[in-house]
Amino acid sequence: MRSIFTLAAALLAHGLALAQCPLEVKGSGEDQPFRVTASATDQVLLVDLILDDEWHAYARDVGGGRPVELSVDAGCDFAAAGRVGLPETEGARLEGTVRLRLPLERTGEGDELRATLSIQVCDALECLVPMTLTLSGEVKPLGVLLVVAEADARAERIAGWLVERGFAVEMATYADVTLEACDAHDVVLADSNVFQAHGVDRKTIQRFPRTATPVVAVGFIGTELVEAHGVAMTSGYI
Amino acid sequence: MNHQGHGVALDHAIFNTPNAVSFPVSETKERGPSQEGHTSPLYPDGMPATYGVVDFEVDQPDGWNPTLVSHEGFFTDVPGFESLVEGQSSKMLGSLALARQGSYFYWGYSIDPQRLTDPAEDTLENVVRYMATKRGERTTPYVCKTRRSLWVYLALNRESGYLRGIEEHFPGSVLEASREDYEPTPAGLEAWLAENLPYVFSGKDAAHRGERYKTIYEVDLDARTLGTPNAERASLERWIELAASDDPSSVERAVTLLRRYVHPDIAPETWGEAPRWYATWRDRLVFVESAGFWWMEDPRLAAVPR
Repeated sequence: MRSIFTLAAALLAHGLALAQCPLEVKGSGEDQPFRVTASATDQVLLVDLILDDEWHAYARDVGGGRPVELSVDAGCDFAAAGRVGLPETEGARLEGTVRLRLPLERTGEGDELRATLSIQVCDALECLVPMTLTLSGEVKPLGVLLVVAEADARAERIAGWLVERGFAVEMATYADVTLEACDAHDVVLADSNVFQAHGVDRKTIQRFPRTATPVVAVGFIGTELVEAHGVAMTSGYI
Repeated sequence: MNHQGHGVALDHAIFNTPNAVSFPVSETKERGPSQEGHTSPLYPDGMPATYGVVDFEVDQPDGWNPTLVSHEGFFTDVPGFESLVEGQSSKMLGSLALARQGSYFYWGYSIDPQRLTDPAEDTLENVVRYMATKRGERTTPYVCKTRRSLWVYLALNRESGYLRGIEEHFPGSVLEASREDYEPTPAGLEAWLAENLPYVFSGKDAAHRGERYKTIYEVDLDARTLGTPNAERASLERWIELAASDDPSSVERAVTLLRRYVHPDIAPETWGEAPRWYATWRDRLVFVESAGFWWMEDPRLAAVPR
């Protein structure tokens, strides 16, 4: 059995990223009446179109300009896992700020995502030449900080399971977890065994860092952690 | 609670994205006395006579999993609060096994893969991915228990004959001046609740904090005199109206109430122009008991700089 520290070191080497990875957008040129930004997790590609006033694009073919198309390029480490989500608008016109969502699935060993956005924008008088934009970047797995009572076989099972599920995992114990470590991850998973078997004293739990990172608080330690952080949902009896 | 849950909110993202989770019903149970006659976020119309339970762990844990006891709405006025699975236990309907408030998710079962069922594994993965989107999610701070705690003493007495809440815990949790006529019997508590519960508040100052009971409640005589339950929108609007009236005594009482219940972070410098303030804030206000019995800015909305 690999030691927990070996596992942690291997996972560290993979690198960690906060949830949404920004992507580089190329091909729109300058002085266009729209801007595009893009970001992704390993679950979803988000593309924001910001159209200038009086300009619009189309969500589907209604006899005007060519509709917006978004696809993942072959040969990268991801593939589309569904259809592009677009807002429902009157006449399929996309105006102002519009978010496109494309579900993703990881298909390769690496982190490279490449996608293509085709867009044609129009105003009341004309439609500009259709453009093809490329979106690219590295999309890291979600980083999870697993906080455990001690680095034992149970902790290793949980960490191994998280890796199998596509997360990048680091581990800390309740005794040594820091705010910096919590803040540097996408999610903190605060483990607990059952009542009187969790092995962490109340004072240690109450010192748990008040992180900006979302926390999944488990079991008895979870109730005390959440209560210590002033969250109302522990205000009932336990 | 044990290893099971019920009332699963299957339409929520944690049961659908990215894993479409299917929870087979492992047992059908008959509704118990702690569940009968009550409602909860997952059973808004009450619980049916029989209900299905699903397994989150492969068997009963060697010990007990903790359930967060909500007792029909301890935290349901917290904007954005999500009750997602109720725990299988003898606690009252509304007791939580999976829930989210702000950037915190409560998972009441083991996360050891040796213990999890397949659907629970898929759900846990979904939960981690769902929570990754909640960085910076605002919620209301916890200040005090809700008034529902006082009602629970009566509910527990009806369920099991439990009297200690009525005879000991209730008097210990309410300011003496607010219970002068209280008779420590089930009928006495029922009468007190009927008369006073809509006007109960707490969380404002040291008088509302106790060593043993933490939250100490008070009856708002100003609100009761006006017949304006403190959590109702119509009451706030009545106070706004009175604050702008020509009757000095009405103005004084209304301003007292507005200062008592409108959070200082959003209150105006003075209440002389209460209607104008309300026109600005009307659609952004929520009343949250556990945050200290305040009308406050809905944390789900982008904060308005002051």
